[in-house]
Amino acid sequence: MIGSLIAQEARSLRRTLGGTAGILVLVTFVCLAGAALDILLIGAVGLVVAITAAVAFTPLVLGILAENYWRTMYGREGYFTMALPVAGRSLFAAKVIFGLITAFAAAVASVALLLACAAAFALSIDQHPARSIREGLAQIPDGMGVFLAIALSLQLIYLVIVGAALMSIGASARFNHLGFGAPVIGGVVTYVVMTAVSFVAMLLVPLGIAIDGPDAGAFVAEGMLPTFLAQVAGHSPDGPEVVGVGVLFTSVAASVVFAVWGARTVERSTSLR
Amino acid sequence: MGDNGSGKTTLLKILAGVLADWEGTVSLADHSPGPASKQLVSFLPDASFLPDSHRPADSISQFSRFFADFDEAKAREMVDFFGLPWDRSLKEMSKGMREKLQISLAMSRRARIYLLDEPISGVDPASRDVILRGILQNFAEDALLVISTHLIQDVEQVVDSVVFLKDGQVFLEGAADDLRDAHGSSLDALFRKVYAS
Repeated sequence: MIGSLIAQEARSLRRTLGGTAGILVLVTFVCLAGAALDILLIGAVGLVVAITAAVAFTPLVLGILAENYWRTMYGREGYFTMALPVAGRSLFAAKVIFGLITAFAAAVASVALLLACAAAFALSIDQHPARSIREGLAQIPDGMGVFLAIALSLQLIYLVIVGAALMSIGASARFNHLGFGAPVIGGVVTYVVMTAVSFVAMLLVPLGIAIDGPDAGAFVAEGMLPTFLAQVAGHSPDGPEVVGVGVLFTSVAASVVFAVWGARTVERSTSLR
Repeated sequence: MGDNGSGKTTLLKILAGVLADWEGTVSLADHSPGPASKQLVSFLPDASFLPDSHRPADSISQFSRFFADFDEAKAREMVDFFGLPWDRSLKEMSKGMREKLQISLAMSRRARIYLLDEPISGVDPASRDVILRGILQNFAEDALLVISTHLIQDVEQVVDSVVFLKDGQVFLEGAADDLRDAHGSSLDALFRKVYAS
């Protein structure tokens, strides 16, 4: 049944997602054409618009997914969804799995569009696009590149799961008199708590990435606390400066907690208004 | 049956398994509200639950994908019986038309229990008769049909049993004929008397 539910998600969103993606890709490439040809004024503005469209791609898709989740689970269409003979956790799982697939596809599209922007910029200054992009990527230390890729992927997973869970928790009987305000308040509270917890994890979890010294970009077995204390005291740390990666663990832990909480809420506390 | 705010919709939502905020015991064909009961229950909510972009054929396909007991041919017959346009989306249909399409879908399941929440409210008297005829012609004799309404006069002749709800409580219940005999009046007159006081 989960397969049918995921297919239903794809069926109901294909026009909206396809239309949005098509418009953004079209805007990006039209603007990039102006930038690549280095047309006076239009080229510079076009590049900015293209980069904006590329960066906005994933957040827009996440917004569409969130609107669809709320409408089909707790809006009037929720009466169809919730009357289906399936467990609440299956509904939640299907929505989250489809959301993750779509969000990752959007992120890949965003990266591809940003690479196209870089290529157009290289052309506009008479450089070879592929070589220019390669040189740009080579500036990023290996460890930092891996860290960024993992961090962005985990952040995407976190946003999809926590977003869905917060909407379901906000729509449960205890909070649903607040309407969509409940998940918004939940989102603000979660953001504040997660920021504090992530900061503490970056300081204390003994795993980080060195950002200077001979091992720059390598993983090291220490958190950010020595670097942080040295910065506060106004002098350089004894060892290399380190960025703590404890934030990755808090993202994973929060994603797991909210996945369980969200599924349980849909299963046991669904209350359509 | 009951006046506004008496708990009719709440009761049907609990029975349909779309409301978890309740206390007590609920059993539908030996199942608590949940996935097992939802296989046996066809629920028509008092809300337009289909996407506005759907045409009747889209909604029929959607129901047939998710409900094993859904009779697609019967749904098409009912859409024709109600005279609904196949080429129009729900956005382009009147409230009565949307209601008729939703009734066609709900009644085309071979369910053990049908829960219809205010299926005739908000439509004109002529349409009410057509809708009731459509409902009564399309459910099995051994199935249970529960209709919530405050339009007593329209359903007076078709109900077997009646539950009057007031302020979330069962106020009066019994076989329709027994209640009429005991009170010496029609259900409609009894309803007016009960809820006017």
